[in-house]
Amino acid sequence: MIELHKSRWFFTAWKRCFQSIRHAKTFLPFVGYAVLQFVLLLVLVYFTYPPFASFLIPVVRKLYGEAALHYPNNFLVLPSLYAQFNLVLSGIVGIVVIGIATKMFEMIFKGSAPQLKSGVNATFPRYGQLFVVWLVETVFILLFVVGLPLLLRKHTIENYQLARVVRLGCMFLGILVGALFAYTSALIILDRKGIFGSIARSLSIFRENAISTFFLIAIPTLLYFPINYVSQQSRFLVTKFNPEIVGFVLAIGILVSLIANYLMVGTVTMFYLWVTGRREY
Amino acid sequence: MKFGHQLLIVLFLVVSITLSCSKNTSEVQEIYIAEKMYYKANKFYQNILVNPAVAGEEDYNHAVAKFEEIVNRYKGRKELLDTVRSIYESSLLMIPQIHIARKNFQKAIEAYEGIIKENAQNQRLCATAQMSIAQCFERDNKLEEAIAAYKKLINDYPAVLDDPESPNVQILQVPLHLARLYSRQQGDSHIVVAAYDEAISYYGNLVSRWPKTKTAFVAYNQMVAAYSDQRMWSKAVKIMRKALHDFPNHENAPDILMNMANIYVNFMNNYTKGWEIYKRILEDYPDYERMGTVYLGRGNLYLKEKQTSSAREEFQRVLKDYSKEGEACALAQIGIARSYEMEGSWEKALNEYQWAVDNFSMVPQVLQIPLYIASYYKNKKQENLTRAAYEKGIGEYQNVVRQYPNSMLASMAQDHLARCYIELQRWEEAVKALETLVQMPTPVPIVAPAYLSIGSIYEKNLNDKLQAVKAYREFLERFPDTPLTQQVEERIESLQAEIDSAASQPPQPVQLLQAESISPSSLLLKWIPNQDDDFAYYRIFRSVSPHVDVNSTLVAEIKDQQQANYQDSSLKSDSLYYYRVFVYDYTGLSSGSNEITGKPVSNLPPKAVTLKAKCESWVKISLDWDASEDQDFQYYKIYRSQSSGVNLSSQLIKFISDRSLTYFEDTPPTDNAEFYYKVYVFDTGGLYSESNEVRVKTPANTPPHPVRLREPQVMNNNTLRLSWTPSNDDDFAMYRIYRSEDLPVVITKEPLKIISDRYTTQYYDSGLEPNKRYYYKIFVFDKGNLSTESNEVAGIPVGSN
Repeated sequence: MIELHKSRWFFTAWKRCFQSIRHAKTFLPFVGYAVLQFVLLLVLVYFTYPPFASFLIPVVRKLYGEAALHYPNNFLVLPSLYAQFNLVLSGIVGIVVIGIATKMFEMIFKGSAPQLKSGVNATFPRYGQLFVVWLVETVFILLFVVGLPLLLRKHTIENYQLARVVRLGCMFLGILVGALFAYTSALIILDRKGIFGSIARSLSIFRENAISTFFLIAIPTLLYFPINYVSQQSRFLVTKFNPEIVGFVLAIGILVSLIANYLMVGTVTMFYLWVTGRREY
Repeated sequence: MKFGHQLLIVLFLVVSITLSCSKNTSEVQEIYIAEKMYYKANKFYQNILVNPAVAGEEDYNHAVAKFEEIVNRYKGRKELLDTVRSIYESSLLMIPQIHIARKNFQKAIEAYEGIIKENAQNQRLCATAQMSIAQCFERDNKLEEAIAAYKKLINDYPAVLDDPESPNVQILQVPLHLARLYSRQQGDSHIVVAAYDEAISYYGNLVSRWPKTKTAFVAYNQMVAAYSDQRMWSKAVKIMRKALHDFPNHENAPDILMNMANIYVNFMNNYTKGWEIYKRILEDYPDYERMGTVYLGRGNLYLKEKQTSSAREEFQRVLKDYSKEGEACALAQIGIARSYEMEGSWEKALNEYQWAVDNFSMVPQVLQIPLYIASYYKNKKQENLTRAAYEKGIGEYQNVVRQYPNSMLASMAQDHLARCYIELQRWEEAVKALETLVQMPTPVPIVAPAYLSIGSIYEKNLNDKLQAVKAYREFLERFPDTPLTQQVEERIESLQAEIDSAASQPPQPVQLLQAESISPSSLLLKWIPNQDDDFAYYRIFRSVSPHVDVNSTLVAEIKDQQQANYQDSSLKSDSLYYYRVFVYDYTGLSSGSNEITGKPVSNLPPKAVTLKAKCESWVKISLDWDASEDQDFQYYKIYRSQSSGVNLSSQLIKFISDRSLTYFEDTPPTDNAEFYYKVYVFDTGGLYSESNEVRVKTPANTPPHPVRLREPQVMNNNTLRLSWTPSNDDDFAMYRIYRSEDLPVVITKEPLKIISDRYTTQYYDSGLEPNKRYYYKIFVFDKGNLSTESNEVAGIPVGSN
């Protein structure tokens, strides 16, 4: 019976998340974040132009060498460059967006209208905790998604089948880490837990609801895959079509991430609230 | 956010903006902009080149405009220009390149002249532009202007500016190229000799001025080439010796030695020197990267001295130790074959040649082997083997063309393929192969003779003067300026005169031979085909009275000149017909043949067929008969009767219009009765014949065998699955399933289910009450409505949902 209830919570979380779309305000933090990502993308596309040229040219040169400063090579490295800067952006702004959205979803759960201001007020004082937890989670994700494939590179470089298995395995591990840390934001924002408390409780909630939590993270993550795959084919895009199309693909990726982030935060928050015994009004 | 943080951000922006204006940053930015413009322009132009056939004038103009935009952006802006000089110069040179792509050489030359005028200080750029001007003239077949432009290049732009170790190799090659141009233009005149002397003197001066430098090395090579062109082998060797003396450790020294050995052996017949040089390479350059060619040369030298077994040893060493040198290995393999051939062991040689064909098909020399083998047999006058060898060659060349499309190898293979067809006198296929060849990216020495071969085959072997003229004209269009031009023009004139003369004469009439009756409704006409070049078509006219002309009934129009017969059908039997065949040419002139008569044979009834019958069961009687052989067969009709004396008023049971269908299965209406059958054969004239009459007695029908009902299988608490063995009765009609809640199973009510498919042997009985016992029985019915019941079974639907 417990399992049955849990699966019902899982589906109800999705249902309630979709119902929340009626509250346009819940999109505000995500739209704001997407705008910032667009600006970041524009800055990276026009990295040779003022005002950021003096900062970005040495950075790009350091990261990818002299060749990356030339057209159209800069578009070959753009997906990777954007991913690195976007990681930094998510550490600075992304965690705030998740915090605000979590609070707003809780307000919807309780039957009141979501207020951006309440979200901001609940998030900023907890920025430190959010950042440290994000840092820990990111280190683990990078370890599995980037470090592990590098470690196994000498085995996978000539074995395409093995490379594919490793890639899929690492992707699975990345989602798993995301699932393990899934409730930390809700715990910090809604239950005012500390860094260790939130991680420990999130792990414990995951243990009790492993499958549901995994799929709450995995389903929105799957939305990224097609766009990720296309953006990884930057050489093909540049030679076959137009270098600028890489930027266009990344821009579509930002829109996709807006939707995926909304679904992930919305469903996880709703599920968390049920799991922790809150009742809807 | 605290005020301090905001201040930090503003400070960061200010510093960034300030630093953005730094020289280094603006240089990167300017280079980036120039690269982007160049990339876009070049991409646009490359897209045109991918499919130039669909590109219009506007596209080319747009491409030019894009490059001009780059040039105009930096023109006169010295500081910017220094940053993006290479892109600027590339853009400048691309503009005339686009004109060349449009074959507008004059405009390209004007553009290059503009570049020279506006960039007089830039020697390197001007030299490139001047070289391009000369090449434009050359491509435009303006050899005099080309020569003048090349001379200007040598006079105005020295090949060595400051550093003799980095000369402009393109300019260095010009004097020799000039001499070769004179040679192309003038043949072996004193002007050519003077040009070669001038080139050699130019290179000699360079060697004296910059001895032991890269400039001198290139000059030595050019001098060797100049002497070799003139077949002055001793002088060429002398220069090579000087080069080796000055550059003993140069990486190309062994190549020079190999070239020297080649000249001694193949052109000066001095084998001793050849041996010495090969020995020297082996001793002095043990790490020579083309060592396989050295052993190959030694093998060939042994062959020249008729020491075949020693030659084979050298060749085998190449194959064994230098397998990475593909071409050397292929030639070594050919060398082994030659050695056997020299010993008179043709079978062994043939094996080795075949091995070469199977393993080194990509080497041009190997490609010639199938033709060589065939010509060997031809010389020995072994006709069958010659034919077989050419046939085999066809297969091998077709394979190469398929495997390496659009390559030089494919062109060569296609050329050899055409040669095989020609040798086999398969003219149409030869022409087809040659026509394919001229469409391929083929070099001039192959494609020009191909056109002439096409013309010659059409003219002499296919007797098609029009096509011959077409081929010769295509040759002139593609190669307007060759030594053969005048000869080809004369041939066209002569052929055209023959065609015109033939066109004013009516065609040669054909001779109609006979009209053979092949059926009561058709006649076969035969004639000797017309051979005129301007043949257009035959028209066959028919009449029922004499004096057939073009106003008589037109029977057929035939465009195939070689067709020599025609079957006229739908005629009346035993009637007399008159025929003439008229030949028409392209101008509309015609000639009529002699007149002949023909009469289709009288129609006879078809031959009767023999009918056999067999009773398989009371519902199945098999009939079969032998096929009718009548020319004008129309159909079979099968009649049945329950009494003897079957005729056309009996019951028609089958109508068959397919002559070869001689089998029929009848289902008689009753059992235990006698039936009589006959097959009638009808022809198109309405005549018929009847077969023998057969009698068949059907047995009495018996009830079907019972089926065995298995124990019902419980599917859930309200469904049982019934299954049973299938009925194997010939006259099976249906299964009827009965169900009761008590024994015996009641069969007076409507059955639970009727199944008419013999092979459906299961049934799910659902909607039952749980835990209640049900009884089942199944009846098999045959087509005679006889039935047999099965065993009874019982089942209880139990269990959870």
